[in-house]
Amino acid sequence: MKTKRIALVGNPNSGKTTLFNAITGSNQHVGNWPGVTVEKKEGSFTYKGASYDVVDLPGIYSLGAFSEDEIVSMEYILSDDADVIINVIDASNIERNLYLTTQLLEMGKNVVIALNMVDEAERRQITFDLDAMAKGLLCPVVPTVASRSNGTELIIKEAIGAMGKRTRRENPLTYSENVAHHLGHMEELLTGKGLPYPPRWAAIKVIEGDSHVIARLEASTDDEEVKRGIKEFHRFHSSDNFELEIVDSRYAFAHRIAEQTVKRPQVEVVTLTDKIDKILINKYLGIPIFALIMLAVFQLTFAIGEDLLGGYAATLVDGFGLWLERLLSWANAPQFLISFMIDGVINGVGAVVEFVPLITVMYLLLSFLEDSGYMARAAYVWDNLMRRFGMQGKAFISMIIGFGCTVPAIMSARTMDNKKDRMVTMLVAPFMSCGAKLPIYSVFIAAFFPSHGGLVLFSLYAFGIILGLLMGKLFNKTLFKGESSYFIMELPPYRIPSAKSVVRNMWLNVSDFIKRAGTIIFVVVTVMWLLAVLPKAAIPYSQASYLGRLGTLLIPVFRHAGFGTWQESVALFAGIPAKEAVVGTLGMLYAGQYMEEGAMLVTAVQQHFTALTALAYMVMVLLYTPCIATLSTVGKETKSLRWPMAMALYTFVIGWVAAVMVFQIGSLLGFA
Amino acid sequence: MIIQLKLGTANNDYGEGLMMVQVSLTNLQKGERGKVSAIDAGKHATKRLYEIGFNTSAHVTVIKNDAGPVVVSINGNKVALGRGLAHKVMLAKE
Ligand SMILES: Nc1nc2c(ncn2[C@@H]2O[C@H](COP(=O)(O)OP(=O)(O)O)[C@@H](O)[C@H]2O)c(=O)[nH]1
Ligand SMILES: [Mg+2]
Repeated sequence: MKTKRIALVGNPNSGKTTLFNAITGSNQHVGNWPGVTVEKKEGSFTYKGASYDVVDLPGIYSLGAFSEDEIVSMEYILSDDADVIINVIDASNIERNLYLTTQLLEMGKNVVIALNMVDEAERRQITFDLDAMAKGLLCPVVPTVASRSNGTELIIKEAIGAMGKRTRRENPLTYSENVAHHLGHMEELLTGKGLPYPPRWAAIKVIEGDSHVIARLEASTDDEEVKRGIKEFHRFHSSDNFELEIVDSRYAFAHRIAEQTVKRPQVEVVTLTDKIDKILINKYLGIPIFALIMLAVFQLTFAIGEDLLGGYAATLVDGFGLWLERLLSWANAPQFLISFMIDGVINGVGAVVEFVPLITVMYLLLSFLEDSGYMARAAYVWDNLMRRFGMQGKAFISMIIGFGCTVPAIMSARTMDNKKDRMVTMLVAPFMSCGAKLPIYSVFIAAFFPSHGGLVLFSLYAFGIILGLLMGKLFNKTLFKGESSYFIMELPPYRIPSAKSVVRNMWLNVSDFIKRAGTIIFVVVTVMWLLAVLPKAAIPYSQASYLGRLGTLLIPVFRHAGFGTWQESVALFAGIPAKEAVVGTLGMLYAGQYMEEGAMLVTAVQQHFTALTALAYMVMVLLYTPCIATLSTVGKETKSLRWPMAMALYTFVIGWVAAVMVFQIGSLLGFA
Repeated sequence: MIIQLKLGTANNDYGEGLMMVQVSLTNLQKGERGKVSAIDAGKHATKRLYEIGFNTSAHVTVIKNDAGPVVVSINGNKVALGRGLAHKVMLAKE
């Protein structure tokens, strides 16, 4: 027998993923802004010995979808795959949430309602008559606080109970006389034609003019009568706004339920959110405050992750290296194994692992921002400026996500229903510096700018944003002409981020970083090590090794940017599979070259670079070709090979030009 | 931009004042309220606005209208609309 399925459906930011995590024990990404979840996620749980599947979906406002993420949800709901739907509703925002509910009821879906965030509603002195609500909506209603796992047991029980009663319930809505009249005819036309949807509901969708469903209907039948009927209806009624009439009936229903079952305070409580917003989205203060917040994030990242904790991680890795070396020589291990373990693994992969505290702190801070509700505000304050560069505020959220990792940043562009907006957002995403580049900057900062870590980092990120904007403008003028799409953004209430979800989001990223160190970075460093110690005739780690020869070929490419040695070029090359490998490769090569005990990466970097070439190198790293994971995501999202290739090339050129300019202008000004 | 319209007709419920004054959302100042009367923002945007509560006769209160998108409160929920879009939302001022 097929495992029974429960689907979570609801408006964006109503707490679906939080509930999903609570029910299934998964660790999916949660954030206090609309658009966090952009794809279908599956999990499962057992209840009374039986196993159940749970499907978490991107948020939707209605069953008419425009953007990729919404289409995923809508298609899933239409597919009728789930045995029951848990409709997650934000209790402090009931009318709008019920609008979607009415559409699920229109479809005759098997629905159980999770009235979520009742804690927040309580704080705003909103109370509910749950029995009346269940009666009005013809389905069970369970109050929940998903973030504290309250009510999850009960909602599971109700959902499982509802699975048995798979009856088509009747549609509780009443439509205007006009619409009802046409509905009758259309339903008659569609009945008994073997269509994939119930005729009554299909009739509503046809009259509403839902192009997605109509296309589906037309594709699913050869019946000329049906096709002609639909076409003629729309030709005949092109000037009527049946859509609005149907929307109004749905809202009338939602309002009626709300009126009968929700009690709000006479005078609306002025919330803390309103007070905070007076400052954070203020006309003059908005962008400066954003800059200050980012500066604070980087200063804290350095102060805590590097100065305070960084030393411990380094000591740990070094200590482990010494112990391993002793162990290997005690066991009379062959020289090549010692060399591989110490130069390759410890100085290569270990050099990356040392940065775990640093990126942990940064991901903690970014998760905190995400869960606070500030993201939507950042989109708000940047919308105006973004528009001047041919983009819109929503794209700015993707850009901030990119500070963590470029892959989800590119995927978050799915929420844009305008193709041009989406493409431009994806194309500029690599300029937002990601967490994997942090170790690289960190080494160079320690070598040359030790007392200005936060500031240097902030400037690099800011430079990335500026370049992203400029490129956006360029794309807007050339490949993707036209206006940016409308801006609609919900501003959710500020929330004190829960420790649980901040730590969870941080761990999602940090565990990924550690996993990459043990997999792709390990592989890259191993290959680099092999190339560096072969052929046998050459002195290991010298210019005569295979790697040395390859690097020597690359030297002319980077000479104008001031990178004079083969190691530097080769490391950039190694960074294309994954960015951390730049540090891993430099660590391995320098350690091998200097041979002597404890040759620190930082000291080696000081010998090979100057402050100016270090800066040029960091700029190159910031901008040049993104990692393989990013390129393959672009390929998947655009369903093409051309775009990722174009991206790999154009970012390389931009990075190279910028690095050369930094070096040349710096040299002219007399820096060295 | 203020447009004077004819008297409210029988089948709508704008009848509180006799004269219905339609203004665009961008013309409302902070703290002013209105009832949605018409939206003409193209198929997608109009539909999206309907869905998030800007249907006929929904009450809207302006929270912020200076630079940048207009922020309104609708059904106790805060929503920001880009100025170009807000301009296409017509309301009966209350
Ligand atoms: N106060 C409160 N916050 C919640 C509750 N459920 C979820 N949240 C928060 O609401 C935000 C959105 O949650 P998320 O699960 O990402 O929503 P989704 O977009 O529907 O998947 C997050 O900041 C959660 O921490 C709840 O019951 N009470
Ligand atoms: Mg979600």
